[in-house]
Amino acid sequence: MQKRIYKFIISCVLIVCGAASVAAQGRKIIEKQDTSYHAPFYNGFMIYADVAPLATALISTGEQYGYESGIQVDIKHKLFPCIDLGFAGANRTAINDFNFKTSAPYVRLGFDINLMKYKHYSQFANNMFTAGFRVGMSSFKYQYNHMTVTDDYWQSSEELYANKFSSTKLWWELNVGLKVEIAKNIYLGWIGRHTMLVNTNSDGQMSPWFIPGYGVNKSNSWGFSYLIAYHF
Amino acid sequence: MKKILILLISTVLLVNTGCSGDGECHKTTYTRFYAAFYHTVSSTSTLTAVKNLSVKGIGVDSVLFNDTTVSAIILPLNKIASQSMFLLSTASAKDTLTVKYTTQDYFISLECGSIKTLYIDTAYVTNHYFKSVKIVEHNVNLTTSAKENIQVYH
Repeated sequence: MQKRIYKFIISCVLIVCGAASVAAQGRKIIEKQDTSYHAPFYNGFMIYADVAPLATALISTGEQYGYESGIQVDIKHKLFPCIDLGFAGANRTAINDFNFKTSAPYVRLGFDINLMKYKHYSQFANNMFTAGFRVGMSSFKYQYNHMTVTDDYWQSSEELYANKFSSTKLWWELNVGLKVEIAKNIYLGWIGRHTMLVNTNSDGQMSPWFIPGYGVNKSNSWGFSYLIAYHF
Repeated sequence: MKKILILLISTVLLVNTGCSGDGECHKTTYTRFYAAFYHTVSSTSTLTAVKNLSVKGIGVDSVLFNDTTVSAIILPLNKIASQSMFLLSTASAKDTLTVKYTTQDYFISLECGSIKTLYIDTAYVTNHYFKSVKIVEHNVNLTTSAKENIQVYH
C-alpha cells in the first residue's frame, strides 16, 4: 500500500515537473514571438510623385522637363512591387543652332526591397532603406531642326532631317533609396539610380539626344528622384 | 526633426541633375580624300613628286595648291554634289581630274551635327601630263585611315 502511495506521489511530482517545464518553454516561445516582428502579407500601398524633374526644368531653363508618379504595393514590409508612369521631353538648341525636340510618356516596372530589419512595428513606420530594380520603356518621336551640312570650299549647303524620326528605347535600372515618414502616412525620400540602355544605336545611325524617362542618350547614366509619398 | 535633417543632408549629397554637356562639339567631323602621284618605269610604279603643281576646283576661285612640289595632296570633294572636278596645272600642261561618288548622311551628335561620308565610284583624268587614275580606297569616312584614296600616274 505504502509502495503504491509513494509511486503515486512520485508520478504526480514527475507529471507536475514535466508540465511546468513545458509551460516554461511555452512562455519562452511566446516571449520570442513577442520580441520579433512578423508583418502581415499585404500592408497597403503607397502613391508617390517625383519632384526632381521640376528642379531639373528650372536649372536647365526648360531644356529638359517631365513629370512622374507611381504606385508601390507593400508586401510584408519587405518587398515593394511598383509601377512608375511619367511624361518627359526636351527642347535643346546647341551652339551651332542645331535644335532637338521630343516629348512622350514612359513606363517603368520593377520592385524595391527593404534592407532594414525591424524588431518592432514602430521602427518600420519611420524609415525605409531600399535597393531596387526597374525595367523602363518609352516609344517616342523626335526631330532635329536647322541641321545643315555645309561645304565651305564649294560654297554649298544642304539642310537635313526635315522629317520626324520614331524610336522605342528599353533600359534597366539598379537603384537605392531612402524614405522617411515626416507625418502620419506622409513620406519624403530619394532614389539614386544607375541606368543602362538595352538597345543602342550604332555609329553614324540617327539617334535621339534625349530619351523620355531615361535622360540624355548615353549607354549608361546616373539619375536621381526626390519623392513625396502617401501610404494608404 | 533629426530624420528630416538626415534626409535633407543625404539629399544634398546625392543631387544629380544629369549634366547635358557644354553644347560644343568635341568629336572629329571631317573626312579626308587623298590623291598621291606615281610615276611608272618598266612596270614599276613609285611615289613621285610633281613639280610646279597648282590645283583648284573648277567653278571655284580659291586655289588649293599654288606652284608647289608635292607627292600627295588632300582634295576637298563637294559633299553636296555627286562629283567634283579639279584643274591640275603643271609647267607643261593642264589636266582635269574628275571624281564621281555617292554620299551618305552620317549622324554624329546634336552638338557636332551630321557629315557626309563618300564612296568613290569612278575617277579619271584628261590625258595630257597625267596619264591615268587608280582607285585604291573607295571609302571616304571617319574610320578610314588610308593615306591614299586614288593614285594619279604621270
